[in-house]
Amino acid sequence: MDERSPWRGFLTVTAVLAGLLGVASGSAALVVFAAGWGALVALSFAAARRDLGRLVVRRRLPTSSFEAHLLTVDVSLENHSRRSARFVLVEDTFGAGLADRQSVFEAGPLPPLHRRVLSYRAFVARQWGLYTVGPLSIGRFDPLGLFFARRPVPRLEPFEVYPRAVEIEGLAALGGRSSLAARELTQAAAGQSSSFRGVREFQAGDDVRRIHWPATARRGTPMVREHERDLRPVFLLFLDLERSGRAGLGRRSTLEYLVRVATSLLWTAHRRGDAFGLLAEGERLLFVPPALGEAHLASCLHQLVIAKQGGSLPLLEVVERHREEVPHGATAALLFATTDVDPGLLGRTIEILRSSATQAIVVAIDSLAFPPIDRPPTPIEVARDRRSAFATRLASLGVPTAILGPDRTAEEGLADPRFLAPVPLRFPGAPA
Amino acid sequence: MSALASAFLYLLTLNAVASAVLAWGEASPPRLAGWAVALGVALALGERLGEPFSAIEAKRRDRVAVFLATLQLSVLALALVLAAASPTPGLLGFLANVLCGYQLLVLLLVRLTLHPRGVVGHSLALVALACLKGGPLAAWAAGSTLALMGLYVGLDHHARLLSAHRVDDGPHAAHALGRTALLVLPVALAVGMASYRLSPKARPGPPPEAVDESYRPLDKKPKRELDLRALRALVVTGLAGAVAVYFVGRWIVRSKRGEHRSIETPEPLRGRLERVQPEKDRSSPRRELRGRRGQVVRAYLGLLDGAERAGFARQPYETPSEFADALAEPRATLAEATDVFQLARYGQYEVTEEDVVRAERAAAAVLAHLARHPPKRRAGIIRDADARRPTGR
Repeated sequence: MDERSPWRGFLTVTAVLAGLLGVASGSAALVVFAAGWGALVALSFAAARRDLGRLVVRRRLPTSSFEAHLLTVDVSLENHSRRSARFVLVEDTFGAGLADRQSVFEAGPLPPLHRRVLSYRAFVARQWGLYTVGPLSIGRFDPLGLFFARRPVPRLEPFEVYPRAVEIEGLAALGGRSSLAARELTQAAAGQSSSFRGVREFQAGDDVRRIHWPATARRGTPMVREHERDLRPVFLLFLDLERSGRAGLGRRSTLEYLVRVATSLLWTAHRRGDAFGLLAEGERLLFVPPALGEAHLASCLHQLVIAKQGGSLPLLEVVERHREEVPHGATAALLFATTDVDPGLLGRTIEILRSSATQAIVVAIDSLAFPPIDRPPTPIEVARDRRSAFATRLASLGVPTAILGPDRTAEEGLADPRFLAPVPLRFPGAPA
Repeated sequence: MSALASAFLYLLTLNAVASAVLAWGEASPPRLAGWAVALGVALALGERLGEPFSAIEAKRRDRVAVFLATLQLSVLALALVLAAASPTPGLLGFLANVLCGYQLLVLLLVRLTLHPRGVVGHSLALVALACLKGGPLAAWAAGSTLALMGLYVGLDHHARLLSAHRVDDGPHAAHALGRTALLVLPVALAVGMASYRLSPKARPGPPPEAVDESYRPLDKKPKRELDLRALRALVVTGLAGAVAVYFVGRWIVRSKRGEHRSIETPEPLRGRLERVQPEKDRSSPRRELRGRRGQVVRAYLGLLDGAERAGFARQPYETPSEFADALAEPRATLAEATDVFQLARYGQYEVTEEDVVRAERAAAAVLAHLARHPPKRRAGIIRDADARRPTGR
């Protein structure tokens, strides 16, 4: 609703004219009428502001969401005045939505020292990135609707929008693999498996529910049960943030493709119950050790949406440098920003990973096919040759591979069932 | 609530017409009843015409509205200037009848625009005409018009506000009427009384003109002298009309311009009502205690303030011991600070310098602990069930 009153200006002008007419004609009634309207305007101005300072408003919402999600924002309105509050408008700015403002209305009555939670649903219409929510404002009209008083609550909250995640069928088809993790991933206590391992003496910090009473009675000292530790498949994503991989603009840029593909890979790993982590070297080292859970996923995605392609190390060198972070038997996803990779070095890195029973998968964004931004364009033939050499080398190594170019969007590429499809087994002598 | 607003709009127009007719026309009960019926029918028809009007393209509707508003403004300006310049009863009666008839047309077009400014403006013009009469009628016209106009504007505003947020206005109509009346009626009453006090008697009519019945030859017609006053009024009206047309047009065009921001008014999902703790009145000063006793008390109050900042405020009903039990950690220093405070605040013993040092040290230790290990925050909500529960005291 428009905050400007349709009547204030019109009636004020009319009253002034009436007053002038009264002065000209000597009509006291008209002059008093004009004065009365002036008094009414002044009282309305005061009434709109009365007790506004005693209304408190707070907002509660999740700190992040995926693109195109619908989320609920709670706005709690508290009345600390001595009168019931009615007809209160709370306006909020949801940066990731399309509307400039969200306006929720409390018709009341909201008794003194009470609160009511008003919720509105906001559609995340903007692309992934960092946004703000706020500032909030609380406002009220006077009884005649001539004035709208607003009290801003200058509280901005950050809000992150993550790219829409697609479950990658090809990755799911690789199956969960139990990695023989040499160290704990999430906790230093004994595992939660149902397999009984034995009993040991109680130590400070042990859960008392684990006390084994018969053993305690036999030994005369508290004993606790111990269980085997569950083995978790580990998925580690190596992300290429080298500066030379930058190409394209906006939705058709390599960074856009990298972030979208990385999000979907991590999401798929999370969905199938893997412990997942992220490793990249951009302007600084970005390492999220493998772990489980939605909070951990949010932490990884946060690193993704703030990532910049400002690194100086090629991805293969990053993998080599942080090889010890990949547990034995894990899955390592190598997300390249370019297909301009030395095939020999690529083969050696894959072999090194395989030597520790690590399954490698490779996704590459063909930056040479994108419009260049800080280098001269690569001839089409050269770009095609490098892409072909890259794909051939990986195929010869039997590594599940996907290469995305600007001919289709990242979402279209990810939705393709052939994306990261496992390489079929070839037997000697079988037809190609 | 829209119906209620329409009822007040009708009362406003009827009051204006009745005031003008009573002041300058030939008023009789059947005549006034006729006006009431005619105005009611015109308003009902005008309301019904809102739907066909809404089907017209907005730009074309605006053009028609601007044209009619300009015409109406010109008529009103002419009428009022004539009335003010040469207020003969005959002229004023004629103007009252013309403007009353024009009111019917204005009511028929009440829904041509979103806000019926034409109807309200025309009613005010009729009231202005009535006010020229002075006396009790003018006082009544000024006061009642201000009241009805205020009530209509308030109800119209509430109806639009609730409708914009898709809230059923039925349960809120009485309150909207009440809060509007609370603001408007005292001012209207004051306006009526002040008008009556300033002009208690109606303006006397001009003395009857002496009719020259002496002999005049038939072929010699009397020469009409140029009425300079009427001419002046016409010129002034023309100029005022031109200026008004310019400014009204400019105002209408400008009111359509401006920043158009997209505002979503989602239907809020309303949660249940919860009670909250009152905010502390910071203006009430704490009682100052002097000497060592005061030092101990201040140390303890500093502890309470620190705990409140950490999210663990003392509840109004909690004794120091209960608060210490609730906060729990650090147990030893908290118990010491509480004991020394109780001794100093409620005991009859002399507080020593050692007690002061103990109190200050314990309070500082508790605050340091709270800074390192923030306590679990206390909810600021009192459930209705908790609030009603008897305390047993």
